[in-house]
Amino acid sequence: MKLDTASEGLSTPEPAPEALIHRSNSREVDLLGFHRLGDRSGLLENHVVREPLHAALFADYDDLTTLRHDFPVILSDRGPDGILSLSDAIDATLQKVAIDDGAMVRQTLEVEHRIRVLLDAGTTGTLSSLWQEVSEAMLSGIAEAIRPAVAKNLATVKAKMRFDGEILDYQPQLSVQLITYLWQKSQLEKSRHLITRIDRLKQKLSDILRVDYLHSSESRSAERLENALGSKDNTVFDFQAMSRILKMAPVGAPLPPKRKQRISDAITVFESQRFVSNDVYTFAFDHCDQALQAFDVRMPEVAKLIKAISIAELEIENRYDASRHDPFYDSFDADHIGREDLALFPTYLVCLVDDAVNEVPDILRGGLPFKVVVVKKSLIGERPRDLLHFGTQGQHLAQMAMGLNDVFVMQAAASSLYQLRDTVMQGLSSDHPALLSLYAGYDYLSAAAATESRVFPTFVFDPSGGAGLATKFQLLGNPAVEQDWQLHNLHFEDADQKKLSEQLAYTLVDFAASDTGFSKHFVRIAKSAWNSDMLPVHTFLETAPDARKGKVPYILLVDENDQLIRAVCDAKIISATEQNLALWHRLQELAGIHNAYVTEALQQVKKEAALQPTEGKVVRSDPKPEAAPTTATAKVAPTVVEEDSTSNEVASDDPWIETIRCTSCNECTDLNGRLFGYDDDLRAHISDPDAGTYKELVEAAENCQVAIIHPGKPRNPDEPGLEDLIVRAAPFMA
Amino acid sequence: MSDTISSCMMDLQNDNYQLGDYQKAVPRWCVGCGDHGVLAAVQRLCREEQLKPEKTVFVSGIGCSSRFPHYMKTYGFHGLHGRALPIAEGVKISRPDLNVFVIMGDGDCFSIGTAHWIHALRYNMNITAIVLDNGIYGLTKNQVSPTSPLGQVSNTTPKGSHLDPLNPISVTLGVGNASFVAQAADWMPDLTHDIIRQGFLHKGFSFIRILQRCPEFLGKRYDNWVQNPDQMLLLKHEDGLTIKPELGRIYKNQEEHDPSNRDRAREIAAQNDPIPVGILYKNADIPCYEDNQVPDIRNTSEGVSRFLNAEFDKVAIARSGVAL
Repeated sequence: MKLDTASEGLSTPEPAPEALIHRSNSREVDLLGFHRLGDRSGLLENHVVREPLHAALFADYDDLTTLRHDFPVILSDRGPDGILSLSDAIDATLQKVAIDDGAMVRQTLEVEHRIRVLLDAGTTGTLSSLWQEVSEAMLSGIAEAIRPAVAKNLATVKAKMRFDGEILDYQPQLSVQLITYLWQKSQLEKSRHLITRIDRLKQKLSDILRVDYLHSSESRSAERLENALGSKDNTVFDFQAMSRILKMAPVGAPLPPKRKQRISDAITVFESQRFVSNDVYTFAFDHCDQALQAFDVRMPEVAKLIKAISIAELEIENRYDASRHDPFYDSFDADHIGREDLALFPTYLVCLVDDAVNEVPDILRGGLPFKVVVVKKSLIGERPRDLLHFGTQGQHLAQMAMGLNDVFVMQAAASSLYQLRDTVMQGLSSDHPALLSLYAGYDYLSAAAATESRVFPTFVFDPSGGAGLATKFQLLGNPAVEQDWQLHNLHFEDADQKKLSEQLAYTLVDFAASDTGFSKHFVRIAKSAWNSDMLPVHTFLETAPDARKGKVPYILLVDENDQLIRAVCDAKIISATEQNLALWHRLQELAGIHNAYVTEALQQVKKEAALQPTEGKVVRSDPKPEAAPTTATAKVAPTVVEEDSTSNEVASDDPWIETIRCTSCNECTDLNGRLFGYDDDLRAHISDPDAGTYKELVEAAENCQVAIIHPGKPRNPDEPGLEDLIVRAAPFMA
Repeated sequence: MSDTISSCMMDLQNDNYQLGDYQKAVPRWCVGCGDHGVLAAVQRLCREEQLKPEKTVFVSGIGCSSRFPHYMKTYGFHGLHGRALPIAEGVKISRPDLNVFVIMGDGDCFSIGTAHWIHALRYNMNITAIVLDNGIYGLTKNQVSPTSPLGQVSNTTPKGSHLDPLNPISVTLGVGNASFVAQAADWMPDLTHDIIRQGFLHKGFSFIRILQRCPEFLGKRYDNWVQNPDQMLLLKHEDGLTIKPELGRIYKNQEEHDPSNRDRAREIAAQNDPIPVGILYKNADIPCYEDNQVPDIRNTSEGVSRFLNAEFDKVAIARSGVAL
């Protein structure tokens, strides 16, 4: 049936056929019954929603080609992360060439806009190819007089553009493409490390074998020498004599056969491995079981390679001790391998698009290097068994994975992928398993709407991010993260072109309204039938259940003629929204926002503070003067030289040496090696005070260039010449 | 498990090196020579860091101090006068895995080796360079060096030297790429050890000048500072040296100096009395030459053979079909 759309327009406020909610004299319209029970019997035909409704807040974003947003993106080898948005690429280039040249900036932005339009129409290509196409079209469409100037400007900008590569606009399948691209980059980095390491080991091992060969008598035979040098000079060059001379040179013993074998075996493993370099295995899969199977099959080879690397490193350092190491390596298998060893190897990527995810927890829980990407194209289903939680299902997978505690988890809408590219890279490069749970709405706005409505909030859990949740968990990229919703002011005009505005939140209700599958939960209400018993959804949710009596929640939408209408929703959608909000609160708590424990503790502190003033007065009336000096001392403390217990040594009558200042010059130890000795650090001390005379002590003190020997008092009162010695010792007694 | 099998295996190779494992031969330096203390400090460092003797090289030039490698049970290269640095650079660039120390004297480094010294600072290779600066040519029996005091009577300056001594620390700080500049005094061996250790741990070229007494030819030069601890200025900082309390009691003249402050370092370097001791400048962000010069193609033995054969083929052709 054709809807009477004209009657719903703001600018054409004709009287509605029936007054709604309020009883009309002809029929009863029971909105409350619809809201509370989903009972549609009291509704009229023109209340039925038949086409997708558009949230009023999105009315400005009909044409995304005019909006400079994160998409399209360029997959470029030269960008910092390999991905760069078209806007960022253009901005970076303009920064370099034309930030002050208004005309050049305008023309460049026009090219950018036209590229967006082309992509929107389904054209594909690289940035440079589209740039070429667009600029040619643009130049041919302008007046001939200005054409050379514009052409020159565009050529200047083009010449300075550092980024080029495939350019891709938002599409639901783009998320897998982007993540695969980033994963390949992370793999490349990893492979490069392993290749370098293996190459180095192979070279060093080959060197050992080569040196052994060069030491062999075979390598120094006349025939070999002749072959090496060539036959041209064999009439004048006596290779036999050369061989005899070379063989006289002493060389070490040849390598033991077992060692030689061990080295050759390791080289063979390096050359036959298929994890990096040539003929490598596939590491990207569409199903969990395929990835698991590949991993299991390759595990023995991983063990072989790790064993070979480890043996090679010992061999190169000449540290392989057969008696000690043979038993370990003989029994070496996959059981010995740890996370750090696996971290050297490529990771396994599994991309599941709108697929069954029941194997996902299984593949993630082993801590193995699996990177699982789950892309959902719809978030709120209505299967009979989801009845009570149909607004929260999309988040379950990521929430469960976070419970495994060892998995890098990222949940995000595909529209945020560009902003989150570093985080994605972090997850893909992490040594932990990773789950990237994504929502790819049918277009950019619908994906972004999932974030805005809290249906699919963005969060990251990084198990290597520190000790506690405060550093491991981040609720990033969500609007108004401390609030239930981000509130927006919607500006519009009424029939008299009077400017009005209303504060709105974009909630799960709005998100569901954009999907025709949920039409039965909504009824359209034209302007003429609006009344004060209708509450915006966010206000309705804030209203206590008792106070909700007689009220119905509505959202603001625009119809096909760009006219504002209200849609009243049923209690089931409201319940789903409440569930959804509860889940959002839980995420907020994890991120330390409105945390129940903190709130409780704060209240406790406030309560205690409220009791404080009386005590405070006592302190003020009876100040403690010593408090201030304490602080002052603490401030100057670092510059005060610390005293220590060794200062007591000075008081002794025994001879002693300031050992810490000894310059190890051998002066005293040469004088009497029993009286003076060196400690483990080669610094002098008195090793036996009775092993020498007082005279020797005094002489040593006099000779010591740094004057650190203190002779003390004479130990033998009968030593001749003591009086004179005591006088000479006096300068060293301090 | 917190590490790879390989690193675990290597960690288990506990060699437990003692001081004696780094000592070789009885030093032939004069009794009372400052070199002894530096040798002991370096040997202590080796033991603390458990440096593998076969992974450690001491390169020297010519002079009393350059006998140093003979007394270390590690690899050593007793080179040519003034050429210790280029030899050490060659060692480092072909074997970046080795711990490379350079021991020079003042004549060695500041006179004949000056050009190498300046350019070694620019290259900033990960090498610990120690100059044992006694201000005199001792091995050749008493000739003035660039750091001899004004008026020094010697075999080459019988009427006393005419030139003001060079200030090596100021010169070093003037080279843009200098990344670690420190001054020590041999009569403060514990600090000398701490400074050398910091220099060793610094990634880059560590330039350490050690003021040193020559009991034979310049015996009295530093008496004023040896006997008056207050004449020494100790530079301390959380990112530099920390002064032990028992030393702090003797050397009370201390200054908090942030080693990243190059301007203040220049001011400190310019003063001769009190003598500053400590880390004047440190910057870990300057890239090392050997890290920037990694060849694209690894120098394999096959590659070397190929190259040599190509060269040999210019004078003689190998028999076809016969491998080397």
